[in-house]
Amino acid sequence: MKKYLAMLLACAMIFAFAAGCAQQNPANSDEPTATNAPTDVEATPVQNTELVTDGNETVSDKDTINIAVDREPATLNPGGVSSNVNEIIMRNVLDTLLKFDENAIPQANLATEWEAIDDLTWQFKLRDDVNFTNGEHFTAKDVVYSINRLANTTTGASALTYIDLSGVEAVDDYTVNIKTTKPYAFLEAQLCQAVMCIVNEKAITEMGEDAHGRAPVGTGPYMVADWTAGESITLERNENYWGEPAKLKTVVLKIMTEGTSRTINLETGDIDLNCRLQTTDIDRVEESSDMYVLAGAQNTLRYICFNTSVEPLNNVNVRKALYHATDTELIRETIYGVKSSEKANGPIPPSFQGKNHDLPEYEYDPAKAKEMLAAEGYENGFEVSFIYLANTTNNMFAEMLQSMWAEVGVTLVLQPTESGTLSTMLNAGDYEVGTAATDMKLCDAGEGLYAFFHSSSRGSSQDRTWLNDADVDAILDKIVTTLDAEERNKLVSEAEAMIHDLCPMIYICHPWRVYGARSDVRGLKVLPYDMEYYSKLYFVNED
Amino acid sequence: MLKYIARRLLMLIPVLLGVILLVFSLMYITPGDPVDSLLGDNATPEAREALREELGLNGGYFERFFNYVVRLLRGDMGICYSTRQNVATRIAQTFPNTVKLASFAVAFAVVFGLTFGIVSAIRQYSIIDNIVMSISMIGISMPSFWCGLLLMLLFCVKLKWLPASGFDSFSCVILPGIALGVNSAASIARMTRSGMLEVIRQDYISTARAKGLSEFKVVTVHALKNALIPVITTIGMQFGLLLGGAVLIESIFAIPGVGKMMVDAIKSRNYPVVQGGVLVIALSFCLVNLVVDILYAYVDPRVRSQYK
Amino acid sequence: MANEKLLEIKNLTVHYQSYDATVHAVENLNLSLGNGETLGLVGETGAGKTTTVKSIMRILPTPPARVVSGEIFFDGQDLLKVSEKEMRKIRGKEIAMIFQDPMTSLNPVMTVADQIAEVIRLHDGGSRAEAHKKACDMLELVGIRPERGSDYPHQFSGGMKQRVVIAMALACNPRFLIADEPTTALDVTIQAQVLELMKKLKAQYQTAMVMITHDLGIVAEICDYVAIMYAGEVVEYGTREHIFNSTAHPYTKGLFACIPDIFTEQNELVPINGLTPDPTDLPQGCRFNPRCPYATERCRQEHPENVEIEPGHFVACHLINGGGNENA
Repeated sequence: MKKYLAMLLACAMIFAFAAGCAQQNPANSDEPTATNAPTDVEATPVQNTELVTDGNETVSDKDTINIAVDREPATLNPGGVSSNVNEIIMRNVLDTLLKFDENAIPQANLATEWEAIDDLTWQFKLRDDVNFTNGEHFTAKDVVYSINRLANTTTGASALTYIDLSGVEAVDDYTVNIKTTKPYAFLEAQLCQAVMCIVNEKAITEMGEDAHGRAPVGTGPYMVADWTAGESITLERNENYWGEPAKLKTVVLKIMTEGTSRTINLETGDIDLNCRLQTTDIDRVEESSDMYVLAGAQNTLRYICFNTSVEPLNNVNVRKALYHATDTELIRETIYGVKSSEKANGPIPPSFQGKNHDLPEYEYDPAKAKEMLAAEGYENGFEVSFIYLANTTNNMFAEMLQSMWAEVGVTLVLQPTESGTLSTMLNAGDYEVGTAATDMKLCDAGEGLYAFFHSSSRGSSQDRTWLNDADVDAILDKIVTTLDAEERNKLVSEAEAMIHDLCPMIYICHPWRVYGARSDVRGLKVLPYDMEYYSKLYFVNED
Repeated sequence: MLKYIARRLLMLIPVLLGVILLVFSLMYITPGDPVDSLLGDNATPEAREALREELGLNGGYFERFFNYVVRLLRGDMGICYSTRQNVATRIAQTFPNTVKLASFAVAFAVVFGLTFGIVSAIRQYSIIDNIVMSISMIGISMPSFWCGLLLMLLFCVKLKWLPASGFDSFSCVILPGIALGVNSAASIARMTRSGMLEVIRQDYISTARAKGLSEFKVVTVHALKNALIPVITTIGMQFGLLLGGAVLIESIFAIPGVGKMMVDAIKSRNYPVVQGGVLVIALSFCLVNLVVDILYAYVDPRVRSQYK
Repeated sequence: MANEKLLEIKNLTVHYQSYDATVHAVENLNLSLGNGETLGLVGETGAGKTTTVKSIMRILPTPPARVVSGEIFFDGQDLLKVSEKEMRKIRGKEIAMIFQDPMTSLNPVMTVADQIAEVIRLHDGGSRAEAHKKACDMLELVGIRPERGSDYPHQFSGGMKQRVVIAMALACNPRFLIADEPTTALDVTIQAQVLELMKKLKAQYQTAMVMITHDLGIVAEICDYVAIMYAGEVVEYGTREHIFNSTAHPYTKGLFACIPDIFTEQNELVPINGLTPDPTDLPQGCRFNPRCPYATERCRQEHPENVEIEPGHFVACHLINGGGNENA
């Protein structure tokens, strides 16, 4: 009798746990219906990049914000080991000569005006009212030092590919010339990158590179006040900032690698802003009256890449057949979510200048795919390996693709791989088919195409197709050296069409950046590149 | 006894050497190159080569291993590839947190495990026993990270009693400590119960009762000490599991501990940090088990006489 | 009669209750014992001997054991009715017990002196040092050097351990000693020494004793009275002479037939046929009837009562009580 009672009790407890679990993640229970959703009903993504309010709110005197970031930066030195997180922090603490506006167009920052004096030389006029946080005055010498310094850094050297260091010189205290090795269309975008942040020579020499990397001396709206390894980085407002001062006095960046725990902490109010909200938690945050979700397009492309240098993937018709065999929309809806991604056709994000909007689609058509494979002599299909970063979403991705391609007779051998190994194998061209997501860092379509598909990019972490096509190379070379924007955009459209026709990738989607915020947080805007301006954040009073 | 401890400490040397060799070899044969994760996008071959040279990645297996051991003997654990800090410094920053977490978890596990184990042994087959054993079954089979998330949802989101992250006050240790210790508490409870049941059936317990001792004294003086002997071994083993389990819990609760540091280091092939971390964990595991063995001898005279 | 007896058990019935069965361990048992006397409790394994003495001490594991009915008078006081607190004062002080296996009846993690001192301090009070001194004296009394008191049980041989157990039992000078097969686990030579020691000390302390054994040799040597138990009942009770010289019950006769006798020519031992009955499913009528060579129809139907066949000699058998024909 007692035994049964205990068993009953145990069962009841298991159910209670299960119920708690189901409650924890309502998104999960919705997912199966999403996959079964009729495809003809257009799911409208609510691209909400900024919170629109009635404007009757009063600003709260709360002056500390807790922000969750998904990893710990290694260093805040330009040219050090780099990640999205440290670039964002660097841009809030240091300053670049130019900076992107919300459409990723370079605008004045430390440089007030600039012009190309000849095909190779650019001249920049600098602000004369800027001081570093160590009291040093900002001059052209700091720019020359900062750029030259990159040559001896871990990751900075690659930013200098087109820069002629001997031609980087201070004309006077507030004028600097930067020379490129050949006509270079992306210098302005390049100068907006975090790696191009301006540092102070005296500060680095006095502190040493390592100490400077943990508390850099800059000219930005914030400065690093404390860095507790593995736990948090605290930024304090730079009271002598040259621009509009930051609204909040303190920003605490909490390092939280677990997506679920970031969501829970947002829910409890331990953090005010989650910069990487998991797709599965979107509904949960949206439903709560204490939180809201912002999401917007990014410069990222999620794709299936072919190694175009190996049999049988070097055959363009085989690649096209496999594109037809892939239901990209089903994968996008199931894995990346209609609320947090947009459809990709071609490698360039729809919002980018030069995007070719007339590309034909490789529609999902297994019968056609089969036919095309047969025409190439693969009526019995073939076997090919699929490499990807081993995690839950990618495993699901791989299994979906495996069953889709099985329908046309292609056997996909799954090769889930751990991150360190993955990048080494991809960089070495040691793969057949894979999936990854890559950013167009400079937010410039032309530069993106060059990095993705130019034969000289092979072996870099952005070239995942190993494409080697003389025509593509020629047009990309031309894009890089064409300084006229309109003409360049035309070339970009043309190049995208050419590349699209070579089918080196199957484009899945452009995943969005999704933020979760407490309902009293204001001033956040989703930008198409990796950036949050902490200085614009503030709180409002809630009734 | 001192001789025994000295011998055990001496034994640490080959053990640690073995650990170093194993970790070093594993990291060596694992594909993936730290230079890839360090240099990231668009690195030139020259820059990569320069970095490889700087990090000492160009030597052969034996050369690199030898260099590492020699430097280790000089007390130099190497430099973290990404932050360029001394590995010893990084471990000094993170290890105390892990120790704090693991100690709380062990304390929780021992207190709850023993109490419930004893109670359910004394009240064998009673409702309490059945409830405790059912809960402990769940406790054993529940993965610690899931338990952590459930606790977070309950105590942080619903009840708002405890913080969900941070590691600056005692209240921050409670939830992760419990989440980490639940598994151990459950297995200690089960161990204690079966140990107690075994002991309670022994003749010397009847002897003790026949002396006229109260039931409380019979249990605490005569039964517990004997039942503890296998439990102490379990606690030592559990400590190793806790250090391992700390990896997940530290990630979930955003605690800057050794486990989290090592996971990040493994991902980026940050060899010195991985090796240093494993070394410290192995060392502390060995030391804890030495303490456990000494404790064991203290509790059990039969073992003590073997040490002489 | 009740007043002069030190121990008197009346109609004691003990059951073990499990989920699906009831074990009739002891049924309607009656026994008595005077001051300084020794009673041998003889029977096969599972006959209920240990259950009987443990119910005197009230150290039966409850549950599953349960005293269903009966009274146990010790010095005129019903032990089954006194409070647990009172009972604890009696255990170890008035009634002490020696367990079967000296290997396991000492706590392995306490020194022997501590274990003896524990019972002394508990009942006689006094300081730790005094108790320790007394414990060492007790060790000396049983023939162990007092300095070995700080040793642990695993450092002693079996016979030595049993001496320690005896020292511990006698430490508070109890009036009544229960010895549960004290020598079974020992070598034969050691057995004799220990028995000799017990006899000596018993005489010295004037202690009454119940000795459980299945060795009739020991009974002959040490016991004044003998009770033969079978399947939870006393089937024959009397003085040593009654049992040995005018054996009445067929089961007792069977026991004697199992002992080799070097003075008579015997080709083989005569074992008792069959096994002790399943205590959860006892046979109807006389419990010994399935194994009894003389069983009659009555034995299979009707349960025999104890009858006094000569003064002080009780037997529960239909054959003896005139119901059957003994030599049939």
